[in-house]
Amino acid sequence: MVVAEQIDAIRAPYEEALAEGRVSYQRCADCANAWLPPRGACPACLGEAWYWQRAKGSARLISWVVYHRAYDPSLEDRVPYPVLLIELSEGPRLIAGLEAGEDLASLRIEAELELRVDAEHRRVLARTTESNTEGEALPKEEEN
Amino acid sequence: MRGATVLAGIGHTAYGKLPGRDTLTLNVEACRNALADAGIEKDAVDAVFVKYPTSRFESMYGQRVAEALGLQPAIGGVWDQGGATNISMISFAAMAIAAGQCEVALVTAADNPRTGTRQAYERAWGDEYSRYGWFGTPGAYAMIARRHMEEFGTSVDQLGAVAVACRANGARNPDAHLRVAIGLDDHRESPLVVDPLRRDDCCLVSDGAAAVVVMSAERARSAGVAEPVPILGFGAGQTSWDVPQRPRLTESAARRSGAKAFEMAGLGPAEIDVAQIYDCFTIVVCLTLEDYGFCAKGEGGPFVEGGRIELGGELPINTSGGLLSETGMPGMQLVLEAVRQLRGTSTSQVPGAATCLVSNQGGIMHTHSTLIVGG
Ligand SMILES: [Zn+2]
Repeated sequence: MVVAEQIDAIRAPYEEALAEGRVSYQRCADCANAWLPPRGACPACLGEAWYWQRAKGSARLISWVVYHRAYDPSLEDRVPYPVLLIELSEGPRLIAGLEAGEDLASLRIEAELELRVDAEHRRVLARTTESNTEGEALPKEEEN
Repeated sequence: MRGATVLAGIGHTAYGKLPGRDTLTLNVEACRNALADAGIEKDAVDAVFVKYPTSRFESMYGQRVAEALGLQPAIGGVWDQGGATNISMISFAAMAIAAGQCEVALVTAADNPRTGTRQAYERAWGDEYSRYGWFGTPGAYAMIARRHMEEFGTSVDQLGAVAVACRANGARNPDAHLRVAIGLDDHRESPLVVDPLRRDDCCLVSDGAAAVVVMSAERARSAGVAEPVPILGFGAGQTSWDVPQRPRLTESAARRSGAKAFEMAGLGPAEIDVAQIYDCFTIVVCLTLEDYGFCAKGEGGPFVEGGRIELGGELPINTSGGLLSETGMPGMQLVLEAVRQLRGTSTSQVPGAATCLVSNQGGIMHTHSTLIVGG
């Protein structure tokens, strides 16, 4: 079973933003460093004068995998499914999902990505902007 | 420090499925065999360093092992470094001996994930990531493998070449958990676990234990240890916990760890006769060989092709089968095989081997440690 989520005070604003359809990250007021996952102090200067910023929703693809094995019963009906490692254009890196209908075979590292939040499941989903311009079959729902 | 301490004895249990054997008993069996191999009485031991069982972390586990051994050590305990723990603890034991804090150290590791729980290898990478299905050890290594394949053109068959070499060595080792040699086609056709990694890219899950006795070269001489193997160099390196936070996915802490070990040993990659490279997943061998400087960054794929890492090749690796074939145990078996190579007793012996390099690494390449032994 998926472990019941423990959302602590540090992470709560990040989760609330996702639930409202936004990707957010922390930025340090002292040294301008930006990061995820949420934490209590800036890992660059160790200060605690940070604030939340909304990500503009663009990223690049660092790497991706496709699970053929379900490591949890809740994933059995999802295999095979992709998992992406992405870098926001603002710098922070995170794990994300791939939009339904995206062609796995066309994924390339460093590909430009456009992000959308599946607010119901608090998931960040990506699609390649190249395939948008090529006009390939994509779900038509509008982001944000 | 170079050559000041030695691996005086090695011991291990059977590897594979060992129902009914708890980790304390397995540790004791491996230590008993290592002490017998060194010809050292138990009561001479004044330090006990223990790799905690990955499958079931227990607080103060090192003291439980010392108690099971009937010892009251001066120094020791458990280091939480995953698969890098064993060489890290051997290094720490060597430093403690040099600093006069102890004289004879047992370094031991046991686990029983095969008959017990494998949960430690299969859970989600944090609550936030479970919603994406980002679970388990293979997925995290697959993320590194994909980047390496895309960035440098590393191929499925190049990963396969690592599995082929390790499985051939394992097939020659009567103690190995899996004694079935494979070809590149078998590897290619083995089922995808987490694409791009296939079943035959992934290490075994095995029960068992292995231990070494560490002491000063001087003490080994006076105690009449039959076949001490000198420690020439060691080093360590560490990086982020979260894989997404890694500065560069295709570079590991082996770079820093290896550079320090080579510096201490006064050797370079060209002077290594045989290597035991931590092979929890095939891709790790390619990355580690690059980071150690056996080849340039990105050339690990071509390097492992064409039999270069097989017995009889330019750099034979994992001559007892490694994690892919001898036992999935995280790392100590590689140290034992280095000792056998230097003694000339490996089942895949490299003729005249005078230097052996061993890599250990933990987590998802979070931690790294390197050991160089030689005559
Ligand atoms: Zn800062």
